[in-house]
Amino acid sequence: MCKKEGLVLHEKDNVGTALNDLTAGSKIPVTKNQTITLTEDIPYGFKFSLHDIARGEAIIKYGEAIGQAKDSIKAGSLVHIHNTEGQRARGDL
Amino acid sequence: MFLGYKRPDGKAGIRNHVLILPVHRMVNSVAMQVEKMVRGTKISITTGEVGRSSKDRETIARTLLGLALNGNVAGVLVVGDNRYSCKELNHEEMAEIINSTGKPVELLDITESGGYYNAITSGARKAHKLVLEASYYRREPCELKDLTLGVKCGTSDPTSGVAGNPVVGKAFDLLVKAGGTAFFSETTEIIGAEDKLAKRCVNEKVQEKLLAAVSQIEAKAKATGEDIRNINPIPENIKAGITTLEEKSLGAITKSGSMPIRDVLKYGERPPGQGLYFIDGWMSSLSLPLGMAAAGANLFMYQLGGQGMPDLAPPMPAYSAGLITPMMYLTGNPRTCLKAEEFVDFCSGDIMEGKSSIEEMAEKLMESILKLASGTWTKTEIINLQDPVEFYLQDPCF
Amino acid sequence: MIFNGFKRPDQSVGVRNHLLVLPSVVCANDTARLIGQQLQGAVYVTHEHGCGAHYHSSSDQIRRTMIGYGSNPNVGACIVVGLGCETMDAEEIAAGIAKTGKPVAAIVIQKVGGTIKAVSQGVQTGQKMLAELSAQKRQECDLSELIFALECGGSDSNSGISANPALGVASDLLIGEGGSSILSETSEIVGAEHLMAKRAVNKEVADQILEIVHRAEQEGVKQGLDMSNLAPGNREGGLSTVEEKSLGNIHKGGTSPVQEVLEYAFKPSRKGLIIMDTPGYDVESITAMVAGGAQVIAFTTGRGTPVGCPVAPVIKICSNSDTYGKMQDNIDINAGVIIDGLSTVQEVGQQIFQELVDVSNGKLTKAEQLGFGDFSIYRPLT
Repeated sequence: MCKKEGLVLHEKDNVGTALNDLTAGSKIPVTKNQTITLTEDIPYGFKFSLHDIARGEAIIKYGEAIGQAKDSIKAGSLVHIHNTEGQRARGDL
Repeated sequence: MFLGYKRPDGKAGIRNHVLILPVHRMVNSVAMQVEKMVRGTKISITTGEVGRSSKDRETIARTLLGLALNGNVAGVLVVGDNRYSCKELNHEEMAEIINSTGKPVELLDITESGGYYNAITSGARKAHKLVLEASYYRREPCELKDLTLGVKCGTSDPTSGVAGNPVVGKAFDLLVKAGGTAFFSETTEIIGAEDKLAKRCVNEKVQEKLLAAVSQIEAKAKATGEDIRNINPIPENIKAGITTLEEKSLGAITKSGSMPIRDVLKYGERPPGQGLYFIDGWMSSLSLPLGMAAAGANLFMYQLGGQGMPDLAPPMPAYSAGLITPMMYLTGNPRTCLKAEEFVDFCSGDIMEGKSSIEEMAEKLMESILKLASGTWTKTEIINLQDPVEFYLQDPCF
Repeated sequence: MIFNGFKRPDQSVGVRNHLLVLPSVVCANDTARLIGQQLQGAVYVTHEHGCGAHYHSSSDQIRRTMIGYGSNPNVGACIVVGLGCETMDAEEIAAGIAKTGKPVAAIVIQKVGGTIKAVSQGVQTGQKMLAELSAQKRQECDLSELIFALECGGSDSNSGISANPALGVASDLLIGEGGSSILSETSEIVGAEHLMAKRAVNKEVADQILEIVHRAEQEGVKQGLDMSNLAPGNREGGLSTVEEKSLGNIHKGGTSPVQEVLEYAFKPSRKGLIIMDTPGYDVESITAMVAGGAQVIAFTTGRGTPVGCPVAPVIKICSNSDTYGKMQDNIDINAGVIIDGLSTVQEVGQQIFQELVDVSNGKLTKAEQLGFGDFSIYRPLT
């Protein structure tokens, strides 16, 4: 094993996890065949999108839905609370 | 194999404490004076039983009795007063139950002792006797089946679900396969991952209990009328890159490993046998370790993320299980490990660096656990990191 | 005979595994206390010594005692806390203790930059040491590794009939196993020195016994002291003269030959019964014997006493059943049963010996349960 920059936990996932503080413009290999060019800085441990995600589409990590996209998300973007919403235990809905 | 203390009821201990157990809040001060006077004693004070529902008082009673019966406890001084006894919290009954397990127990009733000063004197003598008896215990070879572990994850960050929790999960698998007992909990933090866990329950009844626990807590969350994201994930989680409760849950459940879930236990409830159990409890770092100690955990594992943590801070300074169950800090975040080297007992950060696998780290973790079980102190145990206890009470008070 | 103890790098054997926090000077007392209180498994002491203006011999004695105390096999690791401008240099004392091979650290308040930083550094250092100590396991050791300190305090007229002779039996049993005992308090040999000298292994040792007793007597006379040397409690307990007290006192040493005479806080170079020249004050005497390497203390008393030692268990043996009844919180063994006709000196001696073995294996004494740890260094006047 060698030091990776990004990690995809499950084949169904549409987000990867940064294994370092990554900078905008970096090309990150995420699978054998796929490299993602980051559109913005991704801090250590944060998520980035593996392809374009439409508004309302599920965000998948660990092979399971962790929430929905609030807006459309371009490939290589930071995926976090500004563009993603959890769906469970929401008393405000 | 580890070196532990064998108790008369067949349980094993990894520590050899004498526990002073005031069962009503009105007797705390006498018990605290006794604890100061006798070396080798630990005290668990009682708070909040007055003006509570019967269910909450039962929770307190269950927790106190569970602490007394924990294998890490060599003897117990039960402190109470008939004036304050109620049907759920009766010091005499509690002492009788402890006595029936063969564990040395002494009973101190303040009124019967003749008031404050006489009670302290009498309590100190009784505690002396228990400490002396405890000092006769020697560590003996024990098997993995004699060991009970509890885990909680905290200050979670994205390393938790990748390099931290899965290592604990693998170690739990090893323990449970060898006949040992393991606890995980935090009902709020299985929301969004309950289906995965339900599949692992040993039968439909347990499955129903698990799903009921989740739907109850989700209903309570909704009843607040608030966006759960203001409550959980907590701000520290969000700062570290966890976006939603579902994401946190999916990372959190990996700490349970892959073994069947034998039952769902109430907070502080002792399990009916060995194996893996889910405890219906709350994430608090004060109440959960206490509840697991009451359920019989010998060692409490605190799996840390810690991404947003400042340098040299104790990763989670509010903590209560040190009472009778030592706490082991572990992390899968190599940065946390560097920042809090003085507190962290085990680091699986090599996984994040791509230098090690989850399986390799789980083997190392077991070695580390067995050392602590054989008498090596945890880093926080040495500095007496210990907050006041907090029971998990669910009903309103009046 | 075998017991389970802690083996140290210098081959000595401990019956406890303490981290000792030792101030080298009075000004570091509270800093040492704050470090000790924050660490589970740590003991700390405080004292009034270490600054300057000591006579040369006095400085040597204080330094030797501190180094010896930290070197005691019951101490698994040691933190010496100094101020920085004192005669008792903390780093020098730490270096002396480090010769045993055990973990030692010196923390100097002026160098570190104040007490709060020193406390913080002390706790961090102590945490690492304790992690290491807690991983050590008791191992099989031979009883011949033990040095038993024989002490008495608050004596009464029963002491010489019950507790002291019974302790003498236990001491002889340990020596029979190849171990050692130290008899101390020279002023309490005054009037019995001829008997001890007769038991010396050679003339040189006999002369030394007579010499230290003579010196103690002269010193007292020079200071204008009434050498009847009895505390008020001794007199109330029925003892009339120093000679009477001494003749009872020396029974603690049993019947074994005297192998060696030591000055205050020196380590024995021989096995068997040793005499150490210490003052007739129990805590100063215990401190010296522990600095000489004693791992367990036997303490006979008639009037009853709470005295404990921070690093070594103190087994309290009472001369009469009346005091035992009243002071059970502080006393481990009742030798009063001999006076009551319920037991013999031989039987109680066996009981004390068994208690020594049990306590060496880990059983806690009454003074340990209370966490008592008295400490005092005798400072010679010249």
